[in-house]
Amino acid sequence: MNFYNIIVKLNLKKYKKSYLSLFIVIILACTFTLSITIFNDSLIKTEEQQRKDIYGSWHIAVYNSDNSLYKDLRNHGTIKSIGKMTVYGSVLGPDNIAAGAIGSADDNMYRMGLELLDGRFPAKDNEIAVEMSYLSMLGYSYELGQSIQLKIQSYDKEGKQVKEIEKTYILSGVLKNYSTIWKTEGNQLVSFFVTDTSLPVLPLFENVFGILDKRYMKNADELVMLTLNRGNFIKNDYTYYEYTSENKSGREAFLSELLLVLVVTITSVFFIFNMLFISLKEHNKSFVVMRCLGASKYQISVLYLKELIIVLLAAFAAGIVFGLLVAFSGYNLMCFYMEEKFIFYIDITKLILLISVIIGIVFLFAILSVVRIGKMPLTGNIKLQSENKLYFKRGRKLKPLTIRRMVRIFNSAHRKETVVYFLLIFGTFLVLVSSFYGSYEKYKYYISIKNIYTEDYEYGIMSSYYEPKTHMEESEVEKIRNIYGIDYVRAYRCSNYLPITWSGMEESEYAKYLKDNFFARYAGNASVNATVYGISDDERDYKFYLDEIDKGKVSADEFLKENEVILYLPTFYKTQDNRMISSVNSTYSIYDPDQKAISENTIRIGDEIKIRGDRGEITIKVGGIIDNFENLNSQSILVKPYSIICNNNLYDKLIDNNVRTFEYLQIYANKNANYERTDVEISKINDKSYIQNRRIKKEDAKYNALINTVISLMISLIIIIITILIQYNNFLTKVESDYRRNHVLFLLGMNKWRIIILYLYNVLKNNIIAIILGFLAIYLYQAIMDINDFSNLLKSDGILNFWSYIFNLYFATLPWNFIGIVTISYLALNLFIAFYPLSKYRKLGE
Amino acid sequence: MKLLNIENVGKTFGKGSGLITALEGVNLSIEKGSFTTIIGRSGSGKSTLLNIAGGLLPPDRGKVFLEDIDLYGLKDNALSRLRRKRIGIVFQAFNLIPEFTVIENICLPSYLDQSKPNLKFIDEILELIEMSDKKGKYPYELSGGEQQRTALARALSTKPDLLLADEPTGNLDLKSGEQVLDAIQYCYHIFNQTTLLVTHNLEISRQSKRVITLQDGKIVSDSIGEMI
Ligand SMILES: Nc1ncnc2c1ncn2[C@@H]1O[C@H](COP(=O)(O)OP(=O)(O)O)[C@@H](O)[C@H]1O
Ligand SMILES: [Mg+2]
Repeated sequence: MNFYNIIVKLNLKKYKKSYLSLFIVIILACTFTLSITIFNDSLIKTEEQQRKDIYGSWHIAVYNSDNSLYKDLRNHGTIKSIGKMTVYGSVLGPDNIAAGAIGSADDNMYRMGLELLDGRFPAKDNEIAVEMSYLSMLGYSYELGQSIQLKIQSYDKEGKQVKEIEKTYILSGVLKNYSTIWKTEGNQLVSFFVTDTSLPVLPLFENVFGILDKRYMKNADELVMLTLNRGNFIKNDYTYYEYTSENKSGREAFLSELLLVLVVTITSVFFIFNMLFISLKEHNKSFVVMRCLGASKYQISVLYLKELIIVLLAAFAAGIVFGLLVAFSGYNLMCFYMEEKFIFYIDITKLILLISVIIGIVFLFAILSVVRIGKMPLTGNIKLQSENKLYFKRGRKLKPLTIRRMVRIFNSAHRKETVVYFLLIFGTFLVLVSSFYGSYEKYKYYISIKNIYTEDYEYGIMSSYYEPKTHMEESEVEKIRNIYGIDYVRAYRCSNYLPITWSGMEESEYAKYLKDNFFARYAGNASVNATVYGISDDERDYKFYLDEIDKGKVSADEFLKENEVILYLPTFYKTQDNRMISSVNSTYSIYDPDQKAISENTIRIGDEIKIRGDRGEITIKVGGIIDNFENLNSQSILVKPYSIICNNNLYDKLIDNNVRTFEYLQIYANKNANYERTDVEISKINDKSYIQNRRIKKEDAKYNALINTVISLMISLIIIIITILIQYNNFLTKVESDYRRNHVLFLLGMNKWRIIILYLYNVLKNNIIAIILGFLAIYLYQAIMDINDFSNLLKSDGILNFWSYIFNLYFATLPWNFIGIVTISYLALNLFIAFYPLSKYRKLGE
Repeated sequence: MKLLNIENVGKTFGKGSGLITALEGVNLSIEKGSFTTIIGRSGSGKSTLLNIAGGLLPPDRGKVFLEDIDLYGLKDNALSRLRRKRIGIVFQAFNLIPEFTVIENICLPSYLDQSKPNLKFIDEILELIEMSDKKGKYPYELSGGEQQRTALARALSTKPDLLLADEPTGNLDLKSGEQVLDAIQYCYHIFNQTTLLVTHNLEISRQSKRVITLQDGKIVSDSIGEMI
């Protein structure tokens, strides 16, 4: 007769209830770990795939190049695969203006993000595949097999037209729009795809696209040398965020994936540890009895391990299956409701590693608890031996028992449970806040993008300290105004830096500092310079600036009559190492108490300023001063100090242009127009600098915010279910002993309500301490993420300064209302769970 | 013939100012087939002595021999085996496993020994202590006296050489207590069971052949009389 089997069987039956909880907790922990990891991986993969679909999967491109470069790159060690796109000429549109490039692409190119809506890429010389928007523009439907008549112009290297060919093709495929979306920086992509041999002309140029070997992805810049003077080298930072300095992903910013997994793993393990601890406590008494009846330590250990292994293995198996199932059905649900393409991605090695770590740690705990069995004393009061000891700690001074003291005593008597309970709240809080914070960041990013880029297309970089580099002639701007789908164009004229003087200039500290630190660098001279912005007479263009005036007042009449101008004087901050930081681009620095704010106070309303423009010196009158824009949007991103905002007539008096040019454009599209057609038309505006598409950027951000919110909600749901379950279990096991204790208190004359208060106070106290710890952890994480700021600070002097900086930095930037909501809901949830035993307390004495 | 030999055993608990000397220089030997009672005030060291005799608590000083085996010279495995084969213990708290039935509780030591329980013998004991009809019951369905008699049956189920009982009636009312003591005495008479009993009950100690009195951890009297 096998003793083990009998006892194990009996024990499994006996501890059915607690093992069931252990079972459920492990299943949930596995589900939790697996589904979060899978979701997170899938999300990252989906986002990346989505970007690859939109912006192409290539890492680097060399536009406007030739075949020799293609060959050089193909043999380069860092390149994994390479594709090329050959341009032969332009297709003429209905008005005989070049509409789009015609050319060929190789098979590799087709796989880098050129997606067909219908049909296939050309295989024969008379076949053609065309981007959908170009088909519409030429007046064709998307029907395959129809004949397409094209007028094609070909040029020589100098751009001189050499040939005009008329040719009829059969439509073999329709491509989704890509040429207006990929990162080209104004270079041309092919919109009409034919075979290499279809046209009797020499190639004009080749665009070469490369996918790098994973190991060399970071070294993309090394290829710059190779491509120098052989084309325009571009890194695809639209698809690969590794190539941008901008931090685009909120989730990445706040909680790196590793940390997420770590937090999840640790919380799960503690859940399980908690259950094991309870299980061992339950077993303790019968194990002692068995030891007295002659069971050896070894026997008991084997017995307990056998029990645990059966339960744990079964639970882990079920948990893994269940976890995959939940992740998979969650994925399907998401696909179903969001009608978006998601990628279900499982990183097998990572999951196996993760699960083995969890199983390993759990079994380590199991073995540790078995070791404890060996240390059990066999004599004395078998019941609750360890618990009683703590109550009679010697040396405790006799003081009246307040509720606070009682809570302390009870907590120290149940120190282990209290620690586990802490960790539970702490871990779940961390996961909750961080997952929500991830979504919050994405949402914030979306909102900021939406606010700042109110326009759909943008020309020129207004938020730059350098002199404008882009100039568009008035006729081109007129063309844009007439493009299909364009509602409205806001066109700015902007001067270079122009020297100015005014009567109080010598006394101006602001001017002095800017002269040395700002203008010397950006204007190339050490005098005080203004930048003049010419604004049109359209109310939509100038009204914003009139409303933003902080000092003085300029009426529309005065502004239009070129009587008065508006002066923008942003506050600057002088850092310890004598650098100047503008309040515009450094939100953090404001909080450093040691930074000295410097503002211009020698110019007052009504003062006159002399500007030396192209046509000699002109005197203008300051009607209003803006020192800070209240509303952040496309119009408020002009950043240069001494910016003068005036109307176009005044501007004309200052600047000598044979041809009127505009330096910045903000282009608004009609919400009801076919966006894609507008995209194409806009991209045809020929200019040295290209027009940036903000609409796609906005949509991208919106999509990311949405997915992140869904994921956060799912994570929170799982967390909340787990918390409720564990807490409930905790209370179930504790409620008996608590009840006994409270009953005694009750018999000794303690009021029922005081007992309830005692209990609630205990729950709340533990919760609040755990949450504070959670905050500290989040805070620390943020600080570590900003290690750069940290090391800079450590270089500067004074620990006091350091802490005040840290305090201001994080407490001022954390979204307190958001954190408040999450925290309060979490506390409420915990209290709600805690109400279960309360119902029992109310029956005290009945 | 001597079954149990306790030689110069001492035991202290705690340390520093909280040091308690539970036993001091105790010498005691138990003859095979004898019935010995230990009496003494609460805290005099009775349980400590019994636990040391039963191999449950290593003494600080001195030695304990079962026949010629030095109990505390054994490794845990061997000591455990010896305990389950040769020593039966009944505690004041009945220490039944609540989720096991009476018969499962009784068979537990045999299970632990990986041997078949001697069901015939167990039936005999159950008959003797009037528990035959309670075999399938769970502890919570039994009265205190019945629970303690089950514990007694469990202690005897492996035919131990030595039965140790530590105030088996301490938690029972008078009548149930008497039933348990009767059962212990029956077993002594019928199976010639060597028994070492700690009790408060002066009545039974008066009936005992040998009564040992403990005081402050020392044996203060050891009287041998005639068992009635
Ligand atoms: N595990 C223990 N830890 C500390 N002191 C103990 C322990 N067990 C017994 N004692 C002390 O040893 C003395 C003897 O106890 P015990 O043998 O239980 O006496 P009795 O059984 O005669 O009432 C008592 O003072 C008791 O407090
Ligand atoms: Mg005692």
